[in-house]
Amino acid sequence: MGADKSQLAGSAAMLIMKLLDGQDMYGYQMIEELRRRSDHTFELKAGTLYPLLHSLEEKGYITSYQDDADAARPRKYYHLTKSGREQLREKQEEWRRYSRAVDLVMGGGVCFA
Amino acid sequence: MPDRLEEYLGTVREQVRWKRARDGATQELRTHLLDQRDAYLEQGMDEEAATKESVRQMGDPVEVGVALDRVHRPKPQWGLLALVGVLLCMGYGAQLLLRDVALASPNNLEETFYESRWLVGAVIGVVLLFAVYFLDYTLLARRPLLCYWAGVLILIGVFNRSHRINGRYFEIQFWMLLAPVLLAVLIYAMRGKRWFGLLVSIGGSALLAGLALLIPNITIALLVFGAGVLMTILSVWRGWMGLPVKRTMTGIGIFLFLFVLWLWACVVTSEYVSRRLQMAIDPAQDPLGYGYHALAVRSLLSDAKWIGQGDVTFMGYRSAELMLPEIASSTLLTWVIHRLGWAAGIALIGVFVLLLGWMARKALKHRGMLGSLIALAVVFTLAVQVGSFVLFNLGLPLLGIISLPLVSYGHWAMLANMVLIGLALSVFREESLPVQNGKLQTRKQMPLTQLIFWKDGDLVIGFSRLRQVR
Repeated sequence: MGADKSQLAGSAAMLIMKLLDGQDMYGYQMIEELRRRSDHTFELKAGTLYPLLHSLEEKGYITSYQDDADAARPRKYYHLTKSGREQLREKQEEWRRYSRAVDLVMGGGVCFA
Repeated sequence: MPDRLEEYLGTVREQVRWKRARDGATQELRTHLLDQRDAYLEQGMDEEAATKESVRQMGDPVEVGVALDRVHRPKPQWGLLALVGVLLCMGYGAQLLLRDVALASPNNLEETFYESRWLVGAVIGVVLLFAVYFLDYTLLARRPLLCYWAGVLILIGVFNRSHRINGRYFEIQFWMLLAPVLLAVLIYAMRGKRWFGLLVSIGGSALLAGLALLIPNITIALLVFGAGVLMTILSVWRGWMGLPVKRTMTGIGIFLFLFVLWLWACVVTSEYVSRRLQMAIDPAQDPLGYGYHALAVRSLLSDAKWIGQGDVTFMGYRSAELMLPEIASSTLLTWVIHRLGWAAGIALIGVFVLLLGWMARKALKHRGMLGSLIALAVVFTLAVQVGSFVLFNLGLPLLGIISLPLVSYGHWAMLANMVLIGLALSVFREESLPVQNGKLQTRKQMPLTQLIFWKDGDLVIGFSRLRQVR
């Protein structure tokens, strides 16, 4: 079952940066990897992904380069920058606080994320 | 490519209003569509169904295009344009004040002011600035070596047609202000070419500096060579040359040390240069000859007030307009400080510092190599002009002056500086263009996880990653 669209939209930037924290990736690879890691919960549309990537690149959180290993289909890889890593840490911290608060309200206990 | 995919991409492209951004903004979508379609074909779908499904998966093309359009818009540089406007107003104000003072003087000072001619130069300059501002500077990236050599030939042509005034070829001096931009294009052409690229970058800088020495103008030669070396250092630091950073920087450091030694030897053995430096440091050695300028300036500045007009106590002169030569073009800052006070002079230089600092920051943050180098070339050229002018007008003529950009009188300088500023603003305006050139990664910089990784259950060794990428 897919997740609610609005839930994904709010944290898409954080999820994408987390993927890039591990390794450089191109767009299609990110969508496949996100689907795999979330056990098919997150189905990010390409039409959402690319404007997001370009926006993150403009803010300096990621950079891009072209890999022309396949001359017929050159791929644009994205790389997380130092300021991107800092932004990711901030977002992760925000998410931990948020999810802890939700768990407290819903379950009344502490959740170790 | 199937029609349906082209139709989808066409609709997306139409939503991106900035035409220059369309290709870069949508090229990945094309690759993605093909990858997605191929995946569906592998799963057993027929071509039509695979194409239809991959288009559906992309999302509504209008929404996608609008989202891309929001990211890729030209960024008008209102703040920097405002600062340019402030400097032009200050420049015109100074020229007007000089005219009023000269007209009110009982002495014949008609040759002192040129405010109407300054205005004509400024208006033409503003038109040029905006013409360049809206140009596509990335055209230089298509044939950079051709652009560089065409530029060199143009400079040689201008040199041949320049008039010789007081032992110097005149017009070429101001055209040479564009030489650092040519060097930016050359260094861009040398990206990834390692030691060969480094040698050509330094060699190209030396070639243009040599042309400046034929003018002869040592300040411009140092400006051009300095700009070339600075941009080369930045290119090495950012990895654009594809060279190991630490080792190369050490090599450049040794080269610069030897260069400074050689320069010092030239100064010491050249009677003319040695004398000029001596006069700059101790102008009293020749108070009516080489040292006059510096002594007159220092006298006025020592009698200047914080706010308001200062006194004149130099060699019996009654007014600064009689003792300072070429006020409108060469000693304008000194005269402003004398007439209006140190506060006015500091305010003027403060605006320059703000403008150059802001431009330098944007130049260093710019993601594209060519844009970053061009903007840096412009900032350096403006900074050297401002620096040498300020030193001269503070009584330290260590370097010859060219102009105080946008402020001092001089058509050629005004036009050249307006073109330079327009070029830099054009670079900053296009910050949100999708980056087309790539980051170079050498084998050492590439983390192991990028060279060896899992994909779809297969262990992949990415030999292609070891190749230089654009």
